[in-house]
Amino acid sequence: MSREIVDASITFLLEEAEKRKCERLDITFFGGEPLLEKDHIFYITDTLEEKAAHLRINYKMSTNGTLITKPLMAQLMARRIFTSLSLDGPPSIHDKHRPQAGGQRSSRKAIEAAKIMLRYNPCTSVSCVISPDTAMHLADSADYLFNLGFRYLITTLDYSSDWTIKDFKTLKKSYQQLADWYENKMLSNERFYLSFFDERIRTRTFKPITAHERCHIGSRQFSIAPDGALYPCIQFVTTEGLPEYMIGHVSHGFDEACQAYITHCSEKEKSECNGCALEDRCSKWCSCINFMSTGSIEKASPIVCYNEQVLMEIVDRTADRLWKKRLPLFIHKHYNPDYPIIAHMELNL
Amino acid sequence: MPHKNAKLSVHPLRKAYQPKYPSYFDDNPLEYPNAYPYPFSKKMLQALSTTGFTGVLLLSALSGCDVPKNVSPSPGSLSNPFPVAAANLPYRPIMFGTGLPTRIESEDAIDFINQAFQKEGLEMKYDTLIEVNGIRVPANAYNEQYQLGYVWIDYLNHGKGMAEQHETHLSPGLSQPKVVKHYRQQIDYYWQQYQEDAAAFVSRHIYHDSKETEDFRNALENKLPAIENITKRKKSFEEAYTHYYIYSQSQFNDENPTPAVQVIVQISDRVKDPLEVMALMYRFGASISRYNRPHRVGEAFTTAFANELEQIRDTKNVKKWRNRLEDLIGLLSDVQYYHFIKEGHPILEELRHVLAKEDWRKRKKHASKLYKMIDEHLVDYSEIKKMETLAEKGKSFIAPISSRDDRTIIHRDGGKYIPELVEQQRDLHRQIRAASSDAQKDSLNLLLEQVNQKERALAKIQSDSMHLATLQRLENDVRLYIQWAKAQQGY
Repeated sequence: MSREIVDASITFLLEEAEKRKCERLDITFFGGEPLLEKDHIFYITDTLEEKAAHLRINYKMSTNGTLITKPLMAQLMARRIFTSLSLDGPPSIHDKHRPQAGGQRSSRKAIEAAKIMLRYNPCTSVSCVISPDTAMHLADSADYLFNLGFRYLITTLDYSSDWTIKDFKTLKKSYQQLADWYENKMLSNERFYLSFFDERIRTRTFKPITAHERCHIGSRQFSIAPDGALYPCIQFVTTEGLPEYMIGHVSHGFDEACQAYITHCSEKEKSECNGCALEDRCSKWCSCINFMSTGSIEKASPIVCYNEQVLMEIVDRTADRLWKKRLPLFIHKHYNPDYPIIAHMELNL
Repeated sequence: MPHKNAKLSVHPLRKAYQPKYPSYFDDNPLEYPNAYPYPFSKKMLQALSTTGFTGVLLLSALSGCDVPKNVSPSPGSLSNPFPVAAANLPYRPIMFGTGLPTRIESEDAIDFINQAFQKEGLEMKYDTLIEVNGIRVPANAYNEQYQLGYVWIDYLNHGKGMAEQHETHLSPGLSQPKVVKHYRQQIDYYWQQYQEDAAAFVSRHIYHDSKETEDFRNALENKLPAIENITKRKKSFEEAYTHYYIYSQSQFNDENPTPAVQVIVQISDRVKDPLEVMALMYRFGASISRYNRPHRVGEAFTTAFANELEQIRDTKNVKKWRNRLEDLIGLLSDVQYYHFIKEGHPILEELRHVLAKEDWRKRKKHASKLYKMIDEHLVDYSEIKKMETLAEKGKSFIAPISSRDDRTIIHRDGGKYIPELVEQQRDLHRQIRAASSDAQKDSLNLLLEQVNQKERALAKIQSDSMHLATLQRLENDVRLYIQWAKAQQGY
């Protein structure tokens, strides 16, 4: 991204915030590897601090860790850029899908980065992507990351892979192992967040979210590509460019008709899901995932479908066992609105 | 399921697992009556203890829930508050002694326990015999829907295995071989005592005048020392002792012996081995002792009982006599719980019917109803163990709440006293000692009595509050039991 596009993006953001009377902005830097453009990142944050002091701005970024150093981490922390690390598990797992540009293994650098990041912020989260060929190691990966010091484990499937039913059978066994791990950690009074489980429990314990309240793709949430084009979400920002999903440009703003169309498509009912017992809890509403999986934001992802059906029951049974015991940690984690703050404080002690 | 290599497709799930943990639309569990304290980590608790009050306040504001009053971590999660281990069973009966703790009365305990069930919104069936998953117990209260209730266990329903006897204690119902063994061990022990110090043994065991006593003394002091061979001397000792033990009993001098006494005398005539005689006499005596009280068991039973003893006495065939005697001992020992042996009690009535049956050989068949009635009144130790197992498996939840549970002890807090009253009493005592006339002393004594009354009244208030606190604690634990039981069933 050029400096001109950066400036145009900043101007566009501030104008949009003014137009919509926003009080808060959530800005996520993504890539590739966003730290390759760290100067741009710092420029953006410093400029917004100067020009948008009236706004509450949260910065986030996900890195592969290869460029993380202590001085860089200090700068990121000073600017309050919440940085998460992409690490799929122990080196044998991580290196399967994340080689460096020259083909070398990236796990060593990622693990070093993990140590630095956790020292600066014990609440650093880790993104762990599960592919068909690494599914059987899921529980081991989670345990590895936990033992490394991570307490916020964001686990997700690789929705762009070719998952088969056989892969889901393997994944189911792994989920069961993961359930045992989750339960043991909860019984040991450990503070942690495991997205596979905690997000699904949340779909039952929190107020149901309407389509309108979700990401509101293309409207409340959008992405700025390196060339300044506006897209509904990060998954639409590809090297090839997807003009049919462009919803504007930082230089002239949103193309409202296109924007409305994208929003409408993403919020349309998915008839193939009609009558499903998990309809209210499923993440079929995520257009990003649907797009990655099916090439269309209107179609529900079969990978999501299989995954939810396999995982939801395992999660619910695990939660039921913890509820049966009336485990205080389980109760506060899922029913106490102050839990995130308290847990955060505890982890920072 | 589609073929493993088939392309994935979206397929709605028609039926999903229904979770039981509260949803957004259910009551927030943090708003339940027994809120669950936040399970602070050890690091946090340490930090709290060093940051002090401010830290605690901050956390209180943030958490919106109870902050622990001290820094030791609370157990938190629900568990069974009434495991068998808490029942303090089996217990060892104490014949005498002071210093035993004061406990809440069974009636009060039952009232408060029943209250606990009511407060939890449960409709109960009271004083009902329940038969569930292989156990039959007299439940004080039971709810069929939740398979949830309790049994209050005290001396009135202690069944098999509830009382632990010292190995030297002879309890009713023991078999002949076991009692013979007891006496054998006793004789061996006495023999050792006699060998160590014959004079001391004599003075310890010979203390009343009778022919048998004199014979025994003579044997111990004169005949035994003259026997050189130790084995023969020991055998002689045993013969002398057993003879003395059996024939020094008052029954042998009874001029108007009752049928019971006549049977005792028959034992000494019809059984050869002295140890067997001693054992059988003991067992017979122990089994009939509670029934031999006409004022307690009533006329009708006394008549039936006497009739049975006469039948035994009049049985000429020794083998048949022995069998009938053993049958009676067994029957009476099985119904030896004191509170059953009372005129008008249905169990005693049924026992009377059994005794009245002509053919005593078919008594076991006639007694089946009797045993069933006893079973329905009593709770065995094995049954409460089974209750615990069933609860762990989530099959049924019957809390065995024992009167011997430590939670029934009323802790009187070391007897607090009020310093002002004590000082007044002391002062009055000083004045009384220094008083010069009786009139003055009387007047001071009246004042002292008033102070004493005040102290007694305050002590009663304190005692009552301790008593109430004990009952309320018990009630609270019962509520926790109910919540735990419901949780195990997924409610």
